[in-house]
Amino acid sequence: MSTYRVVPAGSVFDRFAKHIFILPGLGVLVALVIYPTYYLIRLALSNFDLTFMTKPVFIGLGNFIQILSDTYFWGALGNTLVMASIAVALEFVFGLGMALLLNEDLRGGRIIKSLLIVPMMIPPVVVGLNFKLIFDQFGPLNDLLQRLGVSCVDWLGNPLMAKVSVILADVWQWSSFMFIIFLAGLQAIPQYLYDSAKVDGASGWRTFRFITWPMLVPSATVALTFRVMDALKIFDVVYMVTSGGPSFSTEVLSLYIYRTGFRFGTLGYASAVAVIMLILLTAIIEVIIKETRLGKRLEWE
Amino acid sequence: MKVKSKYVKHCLHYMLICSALVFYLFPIYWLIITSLKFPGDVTASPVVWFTTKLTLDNYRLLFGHTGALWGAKQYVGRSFLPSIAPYITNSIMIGVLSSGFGLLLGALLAYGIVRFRIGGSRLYNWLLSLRMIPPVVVAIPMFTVFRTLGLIDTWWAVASAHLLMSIPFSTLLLIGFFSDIPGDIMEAALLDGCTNLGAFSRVVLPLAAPGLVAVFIIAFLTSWNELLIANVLTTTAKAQTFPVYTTSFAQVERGTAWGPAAAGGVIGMVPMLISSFYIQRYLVRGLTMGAVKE
Amino acid sequence: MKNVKKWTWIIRLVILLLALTLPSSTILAKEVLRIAIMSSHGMSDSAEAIAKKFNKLYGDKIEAQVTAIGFDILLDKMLTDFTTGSGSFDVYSVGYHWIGTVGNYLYDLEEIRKKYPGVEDPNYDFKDFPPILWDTYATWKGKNIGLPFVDGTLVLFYRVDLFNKPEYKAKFKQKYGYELHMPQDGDTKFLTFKQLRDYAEFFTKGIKWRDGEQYGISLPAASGDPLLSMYAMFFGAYRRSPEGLKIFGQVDPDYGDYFTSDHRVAFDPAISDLGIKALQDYLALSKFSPNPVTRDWITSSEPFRSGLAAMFIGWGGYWPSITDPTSPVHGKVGVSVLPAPHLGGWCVAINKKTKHPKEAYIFIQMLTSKEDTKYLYEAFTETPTRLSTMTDARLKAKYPDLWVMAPSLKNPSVRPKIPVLPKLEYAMGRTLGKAWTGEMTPEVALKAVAEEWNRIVKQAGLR
Repeated sequence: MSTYRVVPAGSVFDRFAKHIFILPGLGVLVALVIYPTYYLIRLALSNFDLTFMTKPVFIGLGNFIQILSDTYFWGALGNTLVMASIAVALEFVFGLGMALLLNEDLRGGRIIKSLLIVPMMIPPVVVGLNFKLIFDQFGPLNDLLQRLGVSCVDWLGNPLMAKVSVILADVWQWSSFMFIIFLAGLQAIPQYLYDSAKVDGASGWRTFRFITWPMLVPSATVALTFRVMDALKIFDVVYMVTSGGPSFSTEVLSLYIYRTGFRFGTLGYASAVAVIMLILLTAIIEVIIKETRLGKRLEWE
Repeated sequence: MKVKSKYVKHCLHYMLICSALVFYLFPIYWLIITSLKFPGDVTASPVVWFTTKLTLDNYRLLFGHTGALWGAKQYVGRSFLPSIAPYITNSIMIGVLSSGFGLLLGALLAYGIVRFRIGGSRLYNWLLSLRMIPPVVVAIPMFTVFRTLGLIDTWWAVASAHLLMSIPFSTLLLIGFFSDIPGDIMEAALLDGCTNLGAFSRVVLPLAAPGLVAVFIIAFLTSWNELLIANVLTTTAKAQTFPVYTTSFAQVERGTAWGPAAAGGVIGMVPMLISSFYIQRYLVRGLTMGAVKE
Repeated sequence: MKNVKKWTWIIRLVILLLALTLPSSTILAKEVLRIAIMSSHGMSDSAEAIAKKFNKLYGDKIEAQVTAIGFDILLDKMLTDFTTGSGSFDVYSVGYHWIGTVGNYLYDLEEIRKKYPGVEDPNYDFKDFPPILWDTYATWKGKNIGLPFVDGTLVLFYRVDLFNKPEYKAKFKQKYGYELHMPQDGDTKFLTFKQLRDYAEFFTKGIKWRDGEQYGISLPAASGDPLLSMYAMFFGAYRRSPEGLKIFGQVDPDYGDYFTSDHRVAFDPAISDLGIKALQDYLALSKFSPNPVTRDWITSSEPFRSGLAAMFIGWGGYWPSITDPTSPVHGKVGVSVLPAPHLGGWCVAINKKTKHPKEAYIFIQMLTSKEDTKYLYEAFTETPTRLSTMTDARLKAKYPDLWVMAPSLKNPSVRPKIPVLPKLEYAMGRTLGKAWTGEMTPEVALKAVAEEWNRIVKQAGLR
């Protein structure tokens, strides 16, 4: 008695079901990615200065040639790479350490875990604001150092220390990201592996080296990939803590593009820098995804 | 002898954990105590580490009340901090719009991918690589496009820009959730005379409901935290979001409004913290777009 | 069935929320005059007060609404608003040094006055504005693009209690051979930079006046607006000296002190050594301050506010917040004129795309009217742009900081009003900052900045 079935299986609707499910999402994504990308490239090939122009004027590769000799760009690129790699490396170490500490049955372990996740939950803008206060020349961190008898550090005034400050803020916020991924990885390691290692009389280090670590590699690659992606586009914290200073020792690519585009109003040039950033990041991420075979994680295939 | 060394090890273990907790929780303590301090104590020298002289003035100031912003009890003037309320509304609306639509489109797409096995790892990689696009790169073309459409400074502009984050995210995560559903159930539904849409809405979605909620929340939080795009695509309180509001504190002419700024930070933190309890189960999955399962 | 309900409520909620958003974006209220004001105490409060007054008169037809926007993003937002033509605001407060960047988008007020003959207030009195303020704030490329709104000159705040203590005075005289004295109202002689440096040195190292850290002075050198203005102050002293005028020629008001009369970069070591001398003055004074490179206007005022520094160079408008009763330096602060004052300040201008030019003009006219300038100064401590307020005997007796304003306007240095100013600001911040961090010697840094500036100006076709 299927007379009321308006759309029977095998009907027109079902024949196109595939498309009906796929197309809206994919369509919107393509519109959101392809068109802006096309537009970005077009802008990158034009001169477009908001202070006195209403329409972009095509100039070919002029912007890119100018970038080659733009020391600000190279400086920002260098800063981004240096700060991102150091920050991610530190986060890796901190996250792994904490995961190992908390992997054992502890009293209050659950609460501690929830507390350690908190930094990641705070909006990056707020983190930046907070650390600006903490790193101030007369702020709590220097006060503590003084009380401990160490001399004050000019956290935000010294080009090197400013980099350290930004890295510290990033590490503070994101090592918990590494931490929970590692913890999940650790907890997925079956107990019998440890038991058999104990029977064999393996030392703590050897257990880690030959059992824990190999089992952790998949989580580690995922954690690293995601952190590298995010660290390379860091903006909020730098914007809030140093806004690129002093003497632009903490200027990062995102900030430089933002500045050239929306403060100087030279959208064409900013687009060209953005295109280069996009190509660079895509290359880096492509390599990582390929090397780590993230795409192969589709279990149903 | 052995008991003793075990005891020492245990102590050491706890000490390490405690120092980690101090490192991670001190800045949060500092934010909260700053938000409760009187203006004179905020940048006092020597530093006020702890005080019982606390006030809620900083929070009141954020909602348009007059108070001791600079301790200026005599100077009768309204605090010029714009009220936080419209910014929070904007944040919520933009978050709901972008994660709502993202969830809808993402669920359809994910079902299509799982059910019809299209795309394969190439599509997966593409979706994954979208996460890497820096917001600043998106911001420039989006700005010019929305400029021509006359949509600058509206919820729609920011929300659709945020879709770029929420659709791939929802899709990837839901692929995981949907493929967790045993194939038998889906096939049974289809054999039972359900259309694909029927199977999707009556069988798959209800089974993945908790996952859907988690996806919605995480997408919402991503939108809530995003600064750059929201800053570029807006000009006024009509569409500016909470993070954009936060950047304005350090720019008040007469001394940074540290107190209210910290209070704003605490307010912006709250939805994140509350929902973090719900999504903790899905957090690992959510943050890695389904690449790691707990 | 239970399961079905569980997920449909999510969708229902989403749809409901979406439905709610639709009407709210389409409902149109009555005509609104939108005003964007820099978010500082005096400015936004004054605009708010005048908006109330405006609404009482014209509220049935059009309503004035004030929005406060932070200093750092105001220019970005203005540029966005102008270029998108979205016309979010009809009236803007414009820092005069931004005029070059946004000037093309501002209404020529003369046009409005011609188009609407009755719009002018007969008691407005244009002559009451000091000529330097009218030329700097209100004029650009010969057009009248705004009305002077807020006067800002850099002034010297100092601790009266320290400078008047006989013990310190004696010790200072013994050490430096002359009196420790801050110019007061009526004094004809300004401070010299040498004096300022001696004072700063004395209160940093010469004497112990507080427990813990102490600084003679607090001054900013953070990249951006602070560095650009502060260096302009030091350089202006040389630029406007007889020697400087001989080398560089007269100051072009649109190009400011940083350029020669034929629009070359004046501090370029290739032209003369005056730029380096000015930078060395700046660096020498910086030694007695909490690290200036990290400090902008706000953060450099904080050490002074909390009693760590004996002097502080900042905008006159900081006075009320520094002297407020709960501040640790309350009742101990005085104001004096700097050796070579520097001019900041704001005009109110009208968006060229506005639909209400007449109403906008009436509003900015009310905001800067003769009688209300006095009221706004008293009520909100908004620093006046009118001579009649600056020299008012009653107000001067009541407010100990007011006297500085008029003498500070004698030949102050000004920043450029050219389109590429944000780029120049950035280039200076990036490179000149290295003279403080020690990455470059002052000469090398200054030379690099001059080259960069010449390149930017040339590229923009300004020479």
